[in-house]
Amino acid sequence: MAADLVNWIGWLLSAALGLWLLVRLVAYLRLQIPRQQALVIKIDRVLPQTQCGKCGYPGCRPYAEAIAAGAAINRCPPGGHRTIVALARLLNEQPRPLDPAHGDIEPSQVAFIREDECIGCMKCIRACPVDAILGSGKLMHTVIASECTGCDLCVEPCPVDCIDIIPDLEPAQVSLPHRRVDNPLDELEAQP
Amino acid sequence: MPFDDFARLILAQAFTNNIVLIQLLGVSAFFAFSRDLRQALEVAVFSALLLLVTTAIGMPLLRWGLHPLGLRSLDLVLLAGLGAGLTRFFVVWVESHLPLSRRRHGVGLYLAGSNGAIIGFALQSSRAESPYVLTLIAALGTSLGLALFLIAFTALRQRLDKIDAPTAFRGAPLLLISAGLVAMSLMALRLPA
Amino acid sequence: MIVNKRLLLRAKHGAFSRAGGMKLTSTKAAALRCGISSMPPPPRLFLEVADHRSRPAALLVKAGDKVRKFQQLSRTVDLSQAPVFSPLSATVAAISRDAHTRRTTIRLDILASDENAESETLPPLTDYGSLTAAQITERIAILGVSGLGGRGMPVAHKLAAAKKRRVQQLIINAVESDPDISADEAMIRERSKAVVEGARILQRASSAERCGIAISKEKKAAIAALRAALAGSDIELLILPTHYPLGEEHRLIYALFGTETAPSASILDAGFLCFNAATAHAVALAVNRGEPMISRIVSVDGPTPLRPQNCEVLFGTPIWHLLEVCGADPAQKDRTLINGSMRGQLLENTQAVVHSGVRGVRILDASELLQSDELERNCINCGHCVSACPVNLQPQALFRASRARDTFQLAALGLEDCIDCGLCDQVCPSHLPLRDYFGAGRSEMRLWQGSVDRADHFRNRFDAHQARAERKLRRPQSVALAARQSDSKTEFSRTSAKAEIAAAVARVKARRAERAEDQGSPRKDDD
Repeated sequence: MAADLVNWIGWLLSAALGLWLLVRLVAYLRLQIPRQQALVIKIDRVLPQTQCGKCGYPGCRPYAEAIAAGAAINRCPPGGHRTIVALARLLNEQPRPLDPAHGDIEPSQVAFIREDECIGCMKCIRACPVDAILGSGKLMHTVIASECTGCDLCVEPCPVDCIDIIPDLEPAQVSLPHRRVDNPLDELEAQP
Repeated sequence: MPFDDFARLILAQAFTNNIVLIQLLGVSAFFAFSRDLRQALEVAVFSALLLLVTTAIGMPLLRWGLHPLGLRSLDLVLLAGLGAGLTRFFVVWVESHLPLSRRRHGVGLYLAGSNGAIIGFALQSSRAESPYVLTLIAALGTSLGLALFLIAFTALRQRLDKIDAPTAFRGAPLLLISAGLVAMSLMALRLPA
Repeated sequence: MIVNKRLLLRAKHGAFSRAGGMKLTSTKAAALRCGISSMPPPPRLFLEVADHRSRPAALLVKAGDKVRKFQQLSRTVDLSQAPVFSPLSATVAAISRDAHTRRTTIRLDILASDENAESETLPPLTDYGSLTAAQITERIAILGVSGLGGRGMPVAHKLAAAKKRRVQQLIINAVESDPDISADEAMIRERSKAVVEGARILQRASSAERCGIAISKEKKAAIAALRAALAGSDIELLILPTHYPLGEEHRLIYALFGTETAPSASILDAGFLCFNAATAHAVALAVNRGEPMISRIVSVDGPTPLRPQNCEVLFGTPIWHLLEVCGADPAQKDRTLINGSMRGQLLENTQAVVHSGVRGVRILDASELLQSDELERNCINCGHCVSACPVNLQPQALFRASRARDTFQLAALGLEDCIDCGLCDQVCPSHLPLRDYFGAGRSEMRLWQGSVDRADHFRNRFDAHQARAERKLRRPQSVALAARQSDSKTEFSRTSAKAEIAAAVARVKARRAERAEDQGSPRKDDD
C-alpha cells in the first residue's frame, strides 16, 4: 500500500518535472524569436551614433536593423573594439576584430573649418547628418565641436578643401596596474 | 511500470552509465566546446532531442528491419545516414524559426548532430533485447546525461579559461584532466539493486 | 601598490565574520598619547577651489588684496559647493588656475602680525532652538561647512537632500574604524561637548526623529567624555565592536539596525542620515560661534624622527610642511601616504595641501613600499578576498573582469557597490593590487557610460536632422550619407563637382574684379 503511494507520487513528480522542463524550454525558445523592434533598439543603443556611413549603411539605425537581420558586427570603426564587444555580448556571439574593409579604429575626432579659406558655399552644412555646422550662404561656416560626431562626411563636399579632422580630447586609455612581464595571461588579454 | 524501476533506469543511464564519461562514446564533444553557456544549453537540448529521435526511429529500423534480413553490416551506415538526415532537418527548422540561434551557432549545430554518442547509443539499443518502450526510457535518461555533460563542461570551461593556469596546462589539457576526475567521481555512484 | 606587512602579519586571519570585514590591529596609541597638538601657521597657504559645473570658481578677491581671518574668498551658486574662507589674515599673493585638474589655487602669504587683525564672523548664536531647520541649514551653508569624513560633501547639500525625505535616524559617526587614523577620537576626547552640541543642531536641522552617536568600543576615553557630555540628553550613545570597516555608513547602519542598503544607493532612501563626528563639531562652531570651517585635525604618523600626533591643521597647509613640523625627514618625501593604509593613496604631488578630505598622513617605512611588479603573482583562487569582503562581492571575479576590461561583467558583479575598503587587497596572498584593478575597472565603466551618453546625444540630433530634412527638403537622408553607402558614382562625384565650383568661384572673382575696376578702388575679397 505504501509502496503504491510512493510509486504514484514518484510518477506524479516526474511528470510534473518533465512538464515544467518542457514549459521552460518552450518559453526560452520563444524568447529566441527576437521581437524585432526591441532587438533593433537594443543594438542601436550600443552603436556610437556617429552617423558616418562607414559600415556601408546610411546611418547607425539602418546598420542596427541590418545586424538584427544577420549582418556582421565588426563593421563600425568609430565604435572601435568596445562596441564590437558590446554587440557580441548582446547577440551571444564571439567578438571579432574590426573588418579592415570598413576602416581602421578611429579615436574620438571632430571636424574643424579653416575659416580663412571658407567660401560660404553651404555644402558641408548640407552634408552634416547632425547639423553641427553653423553658417549660412556666403557667411562664415564653423563646426560646433561639442555636437560634431567626427563622421567626416563634410570633408568631401568642401570645394576648397578647408576642413580638417582633428582628434577630440586625449584618447581615453585606462591603464591597468603593471603585471609581471613573463605572465602568460598577458597573451589572453591581448586577444580581441 | 513501477516507478522505482523507471527512476533507476533513468538515473543509471544519466549518471552511472553516462554515455560520455563512463561509456566514453561521443568524446568528440569535449573539443567542440564553446565558452558560452546559452549556446551550450541550446546544443545540449538539440543533442538530447536528436538522440531520442534517432533511437526512436533507428532502433526499430535496425532490430526489426535490417537484422531479420541479415544485414547487420549495414547498421552503422543506416544510422549515420539517419543521424545526418535528422540533423539537417532539425538545423533547418532552427535556422528558420530561431534566427538568434543561427547567429550563435553557425555550423556548430551540425557538429552536435554528428556526435558519436547518438549513433553509439542507437546501435547499442538495437543490439540489446529490451522492449521498445524501455529503450525509449533509456534513451530519455541517456539524453539527459548527455545534455548535463555538455552544459556542465561548458561552465567548467568558462571557469578554467579564467584561472591562472601554467601555460602547458591551458585549454585542452586541464579540460581533459577535469573530465577524468568527474568521470572517476561518477564511477563511484552505485544505484541500490 | 603598497604592501603593509605590519598589517598583514598582525591581522588575525581567523577573524572573518559572516558579514565580512576583519578585526585589524590598531596603531593609533602613539598618536593619541599627545592629545591634539597645534602647529604654528605656515608662511604660505594654498587654498584650492574646484570648478563647479564646468565653470571656474567665482572669486571675491584678486591678487594683491589683503584678507582677514574668516573672510570669504569664493562665491558659490548652489549648495553643492561650499565657499572657501581665509584661515588667517593674509595677502592674496597669486591666483592661478590649472585647467587640467580644473582647480583654482589661491596662494595666501600670511601676515606676520595676526593678532591685531580683525576676523569676520557671523554673530554667534547660542539659542538656535528658535530657528527653523531651514534657517539653520542656511547658516551652515553660508559658513561653508563640509563633511570631514573623507568625501567632503557640503553639509547643507546633504541636509537639503534629506529635507525631501523623512529622516528617522541621524547618526553621528565617531567609529573611525581605520586602524591608523585617530583624528576623530582625539577630537572627541577633548571637545566632546561641542560634538554633542553639533549633534543636537544637526538633528534640529534635519528634523530627524532620533539621534545617536556611534562609536567603537575600544575608544574608552572618548566614550567616557561623550557619556559626560550626553548626560541628560536624549541622544543615544551607540557602542559597536571594533571591526573594520564599520565606519563606512552602509556597514554601520547594517551593524546597528540590521537594515541592508546597497553602497551604490543612498542611506537616505532607508531613512538614515549620517555625519562624521568632526563635521558635527564644525557645525557647532559655525552655528554657535559663527566661525566658518578653516581647519581640521589630521593624524600624522611615521617612523622616527617623526613624532606621531594628531595635529590641528589649517586648510591649505602644504602637507610636507605639516610633516616637517612634526619632525619628518625630508628625504622620505616620496613615501607619503594619505588617508591610511587601508583606503589611502600614495602622495604623488608633493605640493599637495591639506583639505577637508585629508584625515591622516603617514610616512611609510622603506620595507612597506614594495613594487607590484616584483611581488604580484597569479590568483590562486584561495577565496580569502571573498571571505574578507564586507559587501559580499567577489573580488576575484571583479579582478578578472577588470583585467579583461569587461564593463558588462563588472556591472553585473556589482563593482559600483565596492566601498574601496582595501581588505581584499591586504589579504590576498598573491599580493594582487586589487584596489588599483578596481579603480581601472571603474574608469572603464565611466568611459563606457560616457560614450553611451554621447551616443544618445548624437542620436537625438540625428533624429532632429532627419525630421527637418523630411519637412523642408523632402529628402529622408543626407545625400552625402547616401553617396558613401553606395560606392557608385553620384552627382557628387568629386572631380565633376570641383570643376563646376571652380568655374563658379572663377566667375565670382571675375565679377568682383570688374566691380572693383568700376569703383576705382581695390576691394578686399572678404567673403
